Amino acid sequence: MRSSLSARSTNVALLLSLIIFTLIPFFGIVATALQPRGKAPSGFSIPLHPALGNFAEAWSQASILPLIGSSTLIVLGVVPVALLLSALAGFGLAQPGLPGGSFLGLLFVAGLTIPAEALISPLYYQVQAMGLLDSRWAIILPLIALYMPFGVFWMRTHFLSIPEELSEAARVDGASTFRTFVSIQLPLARSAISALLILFFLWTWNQFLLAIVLVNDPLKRTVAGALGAFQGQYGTDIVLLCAGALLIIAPSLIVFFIFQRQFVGALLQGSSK
Amino acid sequence: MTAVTSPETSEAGAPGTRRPRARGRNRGLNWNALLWVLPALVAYAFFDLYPLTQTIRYSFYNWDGIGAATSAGFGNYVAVFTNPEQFASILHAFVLIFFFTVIPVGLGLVVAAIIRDQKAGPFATFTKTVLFLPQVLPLAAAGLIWTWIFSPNGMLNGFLRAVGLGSLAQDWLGGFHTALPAVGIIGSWVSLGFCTVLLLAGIGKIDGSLYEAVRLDGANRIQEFFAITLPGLRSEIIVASTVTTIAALSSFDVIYISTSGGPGYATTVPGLEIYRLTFVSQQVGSASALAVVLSILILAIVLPLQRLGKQS
Amino acid sequence: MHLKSTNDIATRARRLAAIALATATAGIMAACSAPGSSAVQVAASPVSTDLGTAPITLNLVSDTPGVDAFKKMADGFKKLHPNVTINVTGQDFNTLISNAPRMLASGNVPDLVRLASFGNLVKDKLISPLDGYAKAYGWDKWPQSQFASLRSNQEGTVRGKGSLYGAGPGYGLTGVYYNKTILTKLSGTVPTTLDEFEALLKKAHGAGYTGLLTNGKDGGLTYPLQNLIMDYGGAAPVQAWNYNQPGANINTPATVKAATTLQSWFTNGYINANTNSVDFTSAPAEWQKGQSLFWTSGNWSAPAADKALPGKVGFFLFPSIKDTDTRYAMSASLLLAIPSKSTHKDAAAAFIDYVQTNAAARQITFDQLGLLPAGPEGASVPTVAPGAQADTETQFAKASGSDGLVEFMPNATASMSVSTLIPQTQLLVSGKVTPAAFAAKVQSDYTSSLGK
Repeated sequence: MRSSLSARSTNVALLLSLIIFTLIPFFGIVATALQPRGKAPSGFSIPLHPALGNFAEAWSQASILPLIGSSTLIVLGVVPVALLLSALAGFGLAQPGLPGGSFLGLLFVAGLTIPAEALISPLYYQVQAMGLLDSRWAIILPLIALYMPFGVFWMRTHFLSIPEELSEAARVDGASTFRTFVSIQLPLARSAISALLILFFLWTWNQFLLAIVLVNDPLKRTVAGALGAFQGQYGTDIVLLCAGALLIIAPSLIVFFIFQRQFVGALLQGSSK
Repeated sequence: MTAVTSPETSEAGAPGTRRPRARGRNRGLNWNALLWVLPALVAYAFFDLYPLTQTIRYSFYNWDGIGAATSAGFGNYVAVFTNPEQFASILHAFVLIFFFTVIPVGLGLVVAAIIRDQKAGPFATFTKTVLFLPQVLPLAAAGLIWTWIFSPNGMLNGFLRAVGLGSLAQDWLGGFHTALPAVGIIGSWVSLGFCTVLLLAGIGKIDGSLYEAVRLDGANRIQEFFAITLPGLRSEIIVASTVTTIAALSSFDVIYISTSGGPGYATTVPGLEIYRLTFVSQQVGSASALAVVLSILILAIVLPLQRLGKQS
Repeated sequence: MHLKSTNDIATRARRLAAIALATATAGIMAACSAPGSSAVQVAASPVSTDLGTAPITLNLVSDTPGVDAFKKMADGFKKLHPNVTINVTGQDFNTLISNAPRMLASGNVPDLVRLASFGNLVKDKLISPLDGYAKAYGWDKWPQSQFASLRSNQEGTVRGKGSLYGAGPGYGLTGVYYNKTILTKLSGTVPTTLDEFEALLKKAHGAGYTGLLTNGKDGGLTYPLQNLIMDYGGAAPVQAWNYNQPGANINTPATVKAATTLQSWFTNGYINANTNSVDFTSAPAEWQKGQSLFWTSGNWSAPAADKALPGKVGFFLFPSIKDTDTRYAMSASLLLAIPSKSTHKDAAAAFIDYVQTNAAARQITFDQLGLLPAGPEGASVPTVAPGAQADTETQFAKASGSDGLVEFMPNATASMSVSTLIPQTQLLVSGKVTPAAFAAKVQSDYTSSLGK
């Protein structure tokens, strides 16, 4: 193992420069959001008298609260159902002897390569025919389906990793498959499911295309979908724009900071094999 | 998929994937298991597979999206390759692969190879958290932030002027030569941390004794990299490349917010063209043909990548 | 995707391809039937100006910046018609324009919608003709030139005449804002000819100012361009082209000459070098810096222009070649249409009449939207403090008095602005296309988009 001082300082320096590259845009937007209103700031300057009032202004002008409420409703509509369907199907696909199992597995996997752009206009007519256009269901229902390829694949991979002996033992004890699933498999899948939960939350919160196409009323969209409208409306006022953008991304950041261990950890689980 | 950024990493991450899946193959068919799959399958078929067939159907018509359609044969497909704007958008998407995939994976590899063995601890956790941040943002927000950084009076030019390189300051997103790379940099920013963390995790799994062995054989660090690191990271590289390539080819949010395809047609991408053809020009047929071509392109790139991952 | 657990990836790949093929086949089979339906059939309803007493709720969809103004007008309207409540909602302009056709075809339509142009809406019978209301409310007795751009034949193929499909509170008017401080410094006067205008651009450039501020990122370069085309070749061919009259052609010597002039202005440094990244919303911030002599925009920017540099801004119509020539300006109505599927057409039409004729509403149109109120001759004239906005009022009278008001070229087809004029003007000023190629491309895109 190299552990000389110079090697370690190279490592730290490298990582620090990566960190700076990653963070500079955030510093920039925070610094801009704190500039006094009414003048067009240029370049990068530390605000000497941080104008915290900008956030209050952006908060009310951009209807941040209703938007967060709307996104929350959409998340609540999408994530639990998508998790449930993914877990069920993942478990089913991991069962031995599933008829057409490998075909079904591939069918789901194939969905990972379909870009949302390829589906957007038929989805529009489909949602319209169902009379759901302009309601949050127009975002919720298609999103659940769009998450299936990934969710099912993720859960199937997890269930395949569970030693078969566990289920075998349960089966010998006379437990039904359902009982096995609920009492043995689900508790074991907790980390896989919580990682999936975080991912589904982020993708839903950040959903842009479906939101701007399928819902006309900005207050029924996701926060990300409202960003475009926000830019169009306050492009003149770069300070307010930055303050609003910060408010819009804040919930994702908070969720990420709370769950970052699970998030990063789950994604990198393979490292501990 | 939507918002393809970090998700597919999981395939590397999900535990135990090397287990043989052939188990139980010789037993009787388990029809009950189908019931478990059914709800997901119905949702998937209804809002994913069915719309896809509809896109294919629309692509053979001239249709404004509302009135009656007239047959177009393969005309819309011919247009994808003969209409200079549509074809350029496909080329731009390929250029973006360089920024979304090659740069982050390449840089990530270099960093991972140098650091190789990162000690666990608060600094490591902090690093991972920070590098993952861009993954958490809506891409639209990333576009918004960087538009401000690249603007003529923005942070980048301000920095250049402050360090005496004012002559390099320019209108990054408005210049014909700089706009596409500038948009690409936004993609690099989003993917770099993710690729690095993934590769760092992968390199930690490589058996340290392998390095000692080649070291004993007198290999220098470059040889060591090609002999041990690169092969050892094969699956992580494939995962990172696949995810970021799909993101590059189907990019929309960042471009929509930052340049709207301009200046001229310099930063148009298929996602933006599809959106415009559908919702601005009301040429649903042309848009659908481009969407089908885009899907095929993604499949055509992802499949060989996967095969590459398997040749060892 | 990443199939670690597979032993035979080649087989998998083949299967995946097979699935793709199967899906494609299914799609092609489905393709046997054409999508879409024939046009919506809505029976013509009798026209009435009596709104009764039963409660009516109207839904009005505007672009976001217009919401406040329409809300105030709705309040005023409710005082006259207490049974009518108007819900005003706003959408980002581009999203609204993009979504309008589908929104109007859906089951849940608003009663009034702000549009930029008709696109296929007339052809698909999604918006109602208003001729009955025009007669009932006497709009047909007003100066008719204001309605020309709101007319279309029933097939939706030619605009400018035929049935009336919309009307609205006011009119946009393009022209040139000027910075009085800089003009005085350059010891110049408001230019009356194109040569004087160009000389001032040169002077401003020489003194280190931006001669002409434009928002090229989202189409601001088309304003000086269209004015130049009309100066060189007259407005009639442009208007015929805008209205999609059969055989209309913009690939003319006037267009090539106009493109050449515009290109040279940019090359000479008269136009802001960052035009390709300045958009409609960031242009006022540029103007506020006080470094630009001229700014081509419309009266909708007047409140912002005055606010940015109080007392220092004026407005004039784009100059003509000779002082005595007609001065042209682009003008369009802030267009409200009544969807065919609306169930409260009478009340919606009453509101359209109200916004054009009521003195308080007209003042709101002027103050908040910056637009010149529509309406009959001799209607109330909004009051305003001296400044650029006051200038727009007098200049509008000048242009409309001399038949100088012309529709915007970007409205000629649904995709003309986004897919052709914006990128092509950007290419043109940057020298990436020649003026001749520019003119040819604009015409060929126009033809192909009308052919679809």
